[in-house]
Amino acid sequence: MNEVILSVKNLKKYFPIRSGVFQKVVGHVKAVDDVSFELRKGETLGLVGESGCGKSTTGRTILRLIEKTEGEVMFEGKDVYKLSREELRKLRPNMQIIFQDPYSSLNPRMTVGEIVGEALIEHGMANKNTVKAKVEEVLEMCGLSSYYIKRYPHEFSGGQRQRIGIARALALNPKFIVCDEPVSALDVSIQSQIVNLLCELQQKFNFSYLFISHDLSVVKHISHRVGVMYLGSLVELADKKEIFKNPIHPYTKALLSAVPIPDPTLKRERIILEGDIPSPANPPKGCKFHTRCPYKMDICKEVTPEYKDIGNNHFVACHLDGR
Amino acid sequence: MDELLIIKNLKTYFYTDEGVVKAVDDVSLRINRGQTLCIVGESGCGKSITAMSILRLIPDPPGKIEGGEIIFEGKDLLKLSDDEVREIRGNKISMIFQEPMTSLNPVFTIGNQIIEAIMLHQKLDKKEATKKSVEALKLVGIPRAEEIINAYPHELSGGMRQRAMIAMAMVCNPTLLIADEPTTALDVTIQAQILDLMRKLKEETKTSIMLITHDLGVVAEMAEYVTVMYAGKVVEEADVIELFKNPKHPYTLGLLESKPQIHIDKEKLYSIPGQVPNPFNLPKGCYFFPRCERAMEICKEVMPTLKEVGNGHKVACHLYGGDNNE
Amino acid sequence: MQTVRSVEAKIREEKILGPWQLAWIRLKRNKLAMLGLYILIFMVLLSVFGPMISPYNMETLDLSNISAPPSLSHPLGTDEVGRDVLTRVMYAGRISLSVGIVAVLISVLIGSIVGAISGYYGGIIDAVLMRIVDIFMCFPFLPLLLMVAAVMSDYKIHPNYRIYVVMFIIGILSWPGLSRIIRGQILSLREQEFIQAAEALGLRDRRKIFRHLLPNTFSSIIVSATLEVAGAILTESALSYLGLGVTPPTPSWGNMVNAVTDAYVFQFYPWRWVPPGICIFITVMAINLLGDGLRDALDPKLKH
Repeated sequence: MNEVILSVKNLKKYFPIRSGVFQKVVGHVKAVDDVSFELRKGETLGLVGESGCGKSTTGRTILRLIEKTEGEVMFEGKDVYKLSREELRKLRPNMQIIFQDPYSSLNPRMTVGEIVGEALIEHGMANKNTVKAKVEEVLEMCGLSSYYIKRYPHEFSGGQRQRIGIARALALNPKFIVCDEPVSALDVSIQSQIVNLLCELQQKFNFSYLFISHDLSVVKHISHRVGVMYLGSLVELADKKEIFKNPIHPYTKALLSAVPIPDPTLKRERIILEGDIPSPANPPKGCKFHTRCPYKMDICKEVTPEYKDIGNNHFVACHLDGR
Repeated sequence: MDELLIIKNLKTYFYTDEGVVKAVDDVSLRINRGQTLCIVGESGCGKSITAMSILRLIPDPPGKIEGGEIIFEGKDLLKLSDDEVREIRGNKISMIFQEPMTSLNPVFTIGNQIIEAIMLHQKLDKKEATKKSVEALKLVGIPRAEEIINAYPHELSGGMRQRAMIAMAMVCNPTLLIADEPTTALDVTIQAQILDLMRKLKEETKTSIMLITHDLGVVAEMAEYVTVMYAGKVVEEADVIELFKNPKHPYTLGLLESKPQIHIDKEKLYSIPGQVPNPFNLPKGCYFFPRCERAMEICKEVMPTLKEVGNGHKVACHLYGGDNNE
Repeated sequence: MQTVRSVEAKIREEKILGPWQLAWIRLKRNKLAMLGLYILIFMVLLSVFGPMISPYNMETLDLSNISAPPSLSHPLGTDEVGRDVLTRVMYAGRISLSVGIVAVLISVLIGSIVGAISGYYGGIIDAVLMRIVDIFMCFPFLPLLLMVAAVMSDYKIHPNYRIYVVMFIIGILSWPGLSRIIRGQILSLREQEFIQAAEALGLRDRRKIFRHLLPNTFSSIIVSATLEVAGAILTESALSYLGLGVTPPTPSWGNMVNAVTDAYVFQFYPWRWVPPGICIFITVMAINLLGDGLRDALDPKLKH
């Protein structure tokens, strides 16, 4: 296997909850609670989970767009959190992000050329004369006509805007890209265009993706390995084939069975979970999933299950662990 | 068959500064009693506008229902007075929306809102109405219904709010429930709960459901009959099994092919080229022609009409059935 | 393939409209705002070129023609020392408009920089700057001006320079409001994903503030600045009327209206105070109409 490009160890991000006149901290939202994984060169790690499970916060904390609370993020052997602001700024082109909302992620006052080319100039990768050619090249690569260079974002549809966002990230020759729900806001017929584009670009440039999504079928298509998050923690992580064929954690099983399949003749046994996701400000004791788990045991209410390898690089955090 | 709702040649247009948007352009549909009809399409295809036209909820201006008939239980809704429509709305036909937070009034408790709906349409006093609301909340699987009835919408989670919305919609025993993307804003596990609930309620109450969605997975699970819309037109309709087994229109085919599926591995996804059409600048012939891989000369010029191709399967495409000049 | 080419050809033909052009198109549809704009342009042209064309100088005395009613040679009559009122009104327009505009420029410059820095960095910097804003907002406006006016007379500052002081004071006292608006906007913009994208791209703070954040507040800056110009003109007029702003012989609309304090002038020489009064009124109204129209036209929701 290829070399490890990113390694995340025990990453935690707690947002303080303040209240009262003096804004005293009365608790914490544990958005990311002890997440560890590694990402290799040219690999896509899918991160799935429901809203509020901390998958987006994980992505942003890795890029240090939000400061961590605890833990370590090593990118190409460098600890992202030990860099000075200026060193971090210089490292930025190597790790990029593609956002969910194609509307709010592009500056409405800048032309496409400026949006894509700006950082090239800022990082000295191009000068005022060469930037246009470079931007046109990247736009074409992302399936946009180079005539678009002088246009403003509001003239584009959602799918095209998402392509602009991808072009912006791509222009800097990154090695690692966080894709934060890049297709969730798009129409079905446009989603597959963007997914295909991301796959093609990966084959061409050997990017590593951290692909964050709540849509299991998209994650399954694009990822090599998949991690499942619940209330800020990874509950299961394994090779794509392994996790979809042999899910161990009851939450993963429920999640998989809940995905509607576009085939009316297929009748499946479905696990319908009871209740709602608990608030991350006040997660249940023991295993966080025990309040909704159909297989819960007494131990689950008390002891947090260890997140461990059960063989085959299949990590899971459950007291049942496959037995 | 026992028809509950028949829409004939409905036209709903929006008059904006940039031009006329034919949001719903000559759409015909029918829903039988106890049937679930799914309308599928992408954003801007007119599926929500069709639903809002039924309840006459189109904001005027800029919108206007320009023609057609909406016959519900033998009466043309478009010919009724505003008062008569209000009598039907929430009573015989009720609607649930994508975002339950915006369709519940934040300053009233859940109970208040359901009780109000009951008292508006049924001759019950407050006490009976309260009792009925609790029952309705229990019916949709809300635990501690007696407490929840006094809760404000923001105190509930998204799934609970959607349940409350369904309770409110079902409390007057409507004969038609219109659900506009009821699970799009919800997580998968919660979506599974809500879909399951809707299926159960339908079996118990024999309510017809008009389910609007963009998710083909949801369609396969819920629908009996499916209508596919594109740019304000119906392009294909069929029985759900028939449609998924034997999709005809290149757009339907494309949609089915382009969705990654959890139970099938694909090397590369198919994708429909191009963008969702700009409603101000629709092509002359078939609206799907610029994105269609099987387009022919005729498609550029002539708009195809919806034609039966056997098995109750209708499709609007020149590939099926030669001459379309009617 | 042919269709692709024809689509591309179409793209090339389509006109590219930037956000400002779109705003201009929307503004043009608003008849009242356009009326305001035309009146304003007219007033500006009149003030800038009027005195050049006029055969009189604003200080030319014509002692044989004191307080003469409107006539062919003096369309708006003359004042108590025989100066042509029309010429003085036009010249006063220069003073009043430039006081308004320069004061607002000062206010915008300080206000937007303070607001942007405060909103972008937050934390202690924000707290300190906002307290300074609070202090400025506590300054009693009139007493301060009375003081400054007294100081100016004590130091015998030439009337021609007093207008700069007036501009400066109005500017200095009006930036805090604007900086609060900008700060609020920056705070909400900072949460937008394109700012996170700018951070992820590794852009420098300066660039993020001046290329990404501030341009997105331009529409509210323009709207409040426009309305502030009207306010500044009114303030200047009021001050000059009270004798605290621009003082004669330099004319301003405010100090010309001051003639009305004399009951005799009020009753018998309306041409000496009505024209500057009307000028204040229609200029301020025109600016307000325009400002209102700009607010609609520059609606920051440039989506779709």
